[in-house]
Amino acid sequence: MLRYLLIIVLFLLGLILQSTIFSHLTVAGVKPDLVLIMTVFYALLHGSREGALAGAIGGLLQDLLFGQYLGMNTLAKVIAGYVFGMLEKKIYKENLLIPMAIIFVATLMHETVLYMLRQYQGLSAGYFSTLRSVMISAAIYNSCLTPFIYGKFYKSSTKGLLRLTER
Amino acid sequence: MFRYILNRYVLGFLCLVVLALILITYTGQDRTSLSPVEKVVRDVVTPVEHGVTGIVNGISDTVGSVFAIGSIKNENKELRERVSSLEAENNLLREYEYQNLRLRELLQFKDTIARDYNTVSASVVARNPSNWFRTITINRGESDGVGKNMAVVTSKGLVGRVINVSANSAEVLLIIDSSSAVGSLIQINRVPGVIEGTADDSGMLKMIHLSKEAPVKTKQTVVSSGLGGIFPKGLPIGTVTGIELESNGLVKYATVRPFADFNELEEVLVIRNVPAVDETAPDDRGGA
Repeated sequence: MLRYLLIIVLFLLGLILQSTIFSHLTVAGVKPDLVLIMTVFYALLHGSREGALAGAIGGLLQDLLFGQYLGMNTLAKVIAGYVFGMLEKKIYKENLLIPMAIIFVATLMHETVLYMLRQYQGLSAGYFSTLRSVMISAAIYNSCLTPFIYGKFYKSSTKGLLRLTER
Repeated sequence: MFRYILNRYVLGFLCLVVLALILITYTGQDRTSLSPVEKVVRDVVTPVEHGVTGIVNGISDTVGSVFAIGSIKNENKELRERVSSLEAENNLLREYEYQNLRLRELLQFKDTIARDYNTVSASVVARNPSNWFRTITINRGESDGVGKNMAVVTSKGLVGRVINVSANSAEVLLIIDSSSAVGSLIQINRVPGVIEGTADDSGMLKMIHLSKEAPVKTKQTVVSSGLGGIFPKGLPIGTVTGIELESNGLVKYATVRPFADFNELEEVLVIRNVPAVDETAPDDRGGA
């Protein structure tokens, strides 16, 4: 229970940072997505079920705070959490390059889902132009932030408060 | 095979997708108010964001001013010169204004441009963290008389309109968002069009629905037309920087650089009363 409380606090903190400080630190016009990064890390370390749950919590918080369309970020992040949770047992978690590459792919996938959902809501923009102008820069930005977050997350998930065993 | 398709997870996932799509459909921009849960969450988080933004702005102001001291002296001199030339121009314009008023009275012309808006100032406390939405959160809400669809401006020009309000915060859809549309005019020759945001990150606007022969040129100023009743007439929006033919070859569009600096929004004004406009609103999305 404490673990979920901690996740909610972390996500809230991430969202507040993202909407205040990081909106001043845009690179190539894009902002990082701390909630997505944390969701994917959590999924990588704890598996699909927990990943999807974390995605649901983070996405829902983002939707409640900033969403015009409730459910949009929730769906995109649940999918990301579930898909990348499947890699839990298949990857070597100590090497930093692996989570960086995974975050790159995860961002592209997450933004593609959001693109499709916005298309469903009537956005008129070509996929490849947004891929060029938004998605790739967002993916690079997110993977560059990975080294600063992954270590702490990994330590906490194996030894600290985010550890799965204490139910 | 069939049993595999009906796998628990696949079914659960499909249910989730359907549920999310239903929610997304019913919680778009057109809903009249936020759900109570959203209101509570926003009212709790907005003060925190306000604090963090205040600290961030304070730090960047302090750091910025240290480096700026050298150039301030020169700038001061230039500004003094500019003030005197603007004062002279202002006097001249005031003369024109009185002349205009006299002529209007002669013509019994109805004033369609409101002169004194009832405004409330607000601080920008947060920006939408997603790369897909261009919205900001301000620290004024229902308790300050802010309501849905009120126009938001800075001293430089139009910024957007309020789409959601809770008791002490409001969300503003910026005009650079791709789902925003503002009825607009070229100021000098009154060519009408619609200002839209673009989906990329250029921060530029597009003025669409311009006829092929419309006398639109670069450096012309674009103002709001007041059609649709959301935005008051005559608010400055931006300058035309380029004109291109639409791919169908029948109409053209202009790229417009907005006057307001959307990266540096700190203080904005919410216009609380929208003056009635005489013209009938067209039945298209220009009203949004």
